[in-house]
Amino acid sequence: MERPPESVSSAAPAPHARRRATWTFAAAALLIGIVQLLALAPWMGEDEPWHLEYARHVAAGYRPWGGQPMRGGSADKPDDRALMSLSQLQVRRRFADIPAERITATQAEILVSMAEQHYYQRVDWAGVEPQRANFDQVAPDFSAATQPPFYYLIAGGLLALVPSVDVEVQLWALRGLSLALFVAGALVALAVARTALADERTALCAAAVFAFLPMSVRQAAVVNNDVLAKLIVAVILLCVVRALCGVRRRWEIALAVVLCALGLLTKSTAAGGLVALAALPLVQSRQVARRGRGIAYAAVLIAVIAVAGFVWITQHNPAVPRSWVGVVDRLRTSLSFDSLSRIGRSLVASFGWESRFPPDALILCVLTLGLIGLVLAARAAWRPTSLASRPVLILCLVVVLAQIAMVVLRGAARGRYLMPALPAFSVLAVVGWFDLVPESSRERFAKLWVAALVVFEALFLWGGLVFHEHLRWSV
Amino acid sequence: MRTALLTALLALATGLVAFLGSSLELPDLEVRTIPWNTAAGGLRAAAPAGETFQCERDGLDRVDVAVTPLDPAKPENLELVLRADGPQGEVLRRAIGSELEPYQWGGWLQFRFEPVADSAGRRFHVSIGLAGDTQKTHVAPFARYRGHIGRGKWQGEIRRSGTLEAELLSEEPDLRALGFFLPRFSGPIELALLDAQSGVELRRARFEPPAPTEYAWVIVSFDPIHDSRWKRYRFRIELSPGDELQADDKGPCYFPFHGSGAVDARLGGMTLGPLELSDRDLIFRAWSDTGPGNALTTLRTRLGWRLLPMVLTWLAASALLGLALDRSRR
Repeated sequence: MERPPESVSSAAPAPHARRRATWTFAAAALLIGIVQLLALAPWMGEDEPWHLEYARHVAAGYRPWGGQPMRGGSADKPDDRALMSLSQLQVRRRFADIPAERITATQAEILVSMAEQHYYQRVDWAGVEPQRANFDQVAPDFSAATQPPFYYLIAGGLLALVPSVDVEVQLWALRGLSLALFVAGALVALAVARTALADERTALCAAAVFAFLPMSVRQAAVVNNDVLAKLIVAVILLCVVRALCGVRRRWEIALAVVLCALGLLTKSTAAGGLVALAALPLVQSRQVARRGRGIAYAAVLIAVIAVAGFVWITQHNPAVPRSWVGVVDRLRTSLSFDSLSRIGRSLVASFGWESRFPPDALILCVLTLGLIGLVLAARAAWRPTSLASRPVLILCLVVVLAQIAMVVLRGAARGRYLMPALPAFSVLAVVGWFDLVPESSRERFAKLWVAALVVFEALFLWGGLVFHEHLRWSV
Repeated sequence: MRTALLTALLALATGLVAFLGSSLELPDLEVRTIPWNTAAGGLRAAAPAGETFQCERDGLDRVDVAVTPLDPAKPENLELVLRADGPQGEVLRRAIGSELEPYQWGGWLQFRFEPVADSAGRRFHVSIGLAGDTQKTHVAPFARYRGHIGRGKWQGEIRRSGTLEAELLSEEPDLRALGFFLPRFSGPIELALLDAQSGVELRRARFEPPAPTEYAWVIVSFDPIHDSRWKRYRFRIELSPGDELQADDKGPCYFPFHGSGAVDARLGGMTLGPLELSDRDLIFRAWSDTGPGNALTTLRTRLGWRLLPMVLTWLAASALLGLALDRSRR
């Protein structure tokens, strides 16, 4: 397979010019991530208390597997929930030999800080009552302890180096980690775009979507495993796109397989990376003929899927339904209009832990532009374009559609679960829209593209985040 | 470099417009909660629903009250009365409902009136009642009970009357109230809370409506039970003749409430006719002087030192994106 045709472009930019553009873009991504760090009040990133709790126990040396199972009540023993709340029991089930007092004290420390930081004035569904004894009194039956451990091993390792036990200091340290992962992700997205697209400007425009789309850059400031899942899938996509474009090194596919496993040990949403890898031989027809390699490839993928499935089930991951009734219930919920609209809304913009959203008109406008971009990209894949090769476009379409399907069928309506497919989506959106524009107008269109992103980010920041989370508090 | 500068200017202009626009939408005081699920019952002429509160800014000129859907009532059938100090204070303003802003299971019913110039720091009482000779309506204001709501059940389809008994498991400490949904509610409701094992009565409480109403969440408070976590209780409810309570085949639908009940000191509690209910608040919002000055002052207080670096970094990030685009040109 060859690189995309360059019929409309002149020679590639000089290496030093490309390097300067890369550094400038990296600086822009870093700074916009810092803006989110400065703008987001402590604990206002979704699920941060639970993520920090998990990482804190890892940092203290507790092994995140082999904990004590939960027991229901029986004739001679009371229900475990009489001893601790459900979220605390889930922590006890995750960590080996963790004392109950430690679990209770950690939650209490975080809850005190949340109240001091006016969490309850900013999150409409949490009530304003400041006195809480455990996390279940904020969001019942929820815990990060059901998540796979890879992110928390990294985060816990970092926390172990932080010379403070103050929960807010630790929160900022882990937010710093998210920022670093985000900037790395933005650079990988740029590399994906440069490999996939013939034109340097369009590549920059695609990477700018990753770096400046508000809910994407927001992940730079939130303690979360989503940002690592997004980075891992981006690197896998880069390896696969490089393979498709014939510029890969021999070890890259092996790296992608390893990353698939790590992704699945990070978050179930990273399964998008597996889809990219699985789709590679299908879109790269020449390799399918090499049956031996194909069989080995399939065997490795099946092994990765099997190991991941086993780990998820044994770790009580909520992404895996436990029964047929559960599957049916999940489908019924996830295909409802309410669920789909929540995915769309929280993908475009949400504030106060998804308790407030921008006007529906803005959400519809952004979603429509994105969907049109996808449709136009599909058209470009069907009717070849000078901007990117058909196999790359097909691969990106498969990754995006698979991620959408996974999130919709998962039943948990959260737009951020779509984020691992963002580098693929960015390539598609750019190809779809730029393909409509004559080459002579593309430079102007690129400026318009960047301007639209800057405007959207400004509206999100000053009309949304600042307004809803710093100005409009409930009493 | 020109693209970089223009990008930063575009960001600045958009950010300013967004900030100025949103600063006009900043209430002085707002009781906000999700979901709205405890409607206080259809309004009656004898029992307007109100709240005592303290304003932060001058120029109080609008109050919105969260209500159930208006159909078939109209905004003009509802009247708001603003008093100085408290429920017995001097009447300062009267206003008829102007429009309904849809939200949650109902909407914010807006009442606009002549601004109260010196409202900053003053206490007011606001009440919503029926305009003219209307005696009753299905429209109900929403109340927010202080404390947080625990696990209960609310989807029963049976109506029960008389004396009812059922068991509950309190999953949290500081149990301090039980809420029941009464499709018909005219007389007092008596609640007795018993230890499930010994049958010893632990709490007794009563709630008497100032006027018969319907479709009301009736919240009966008692002294908090601090060690209520994972304890089983029996409760007995005595309804007045003719009154009905929503239930399922296992017993009454109910919500437990827990916590300390602490709220912002600017809220003085809800009133329902002559009743003063310091355990809950009307879901409402009060509007006074808005504008960028107030919003900026609030933002500087809440964001502190982070505000200026945030603005500068944001402009620099926007400029750098423009610069990166410039540098990516062939």
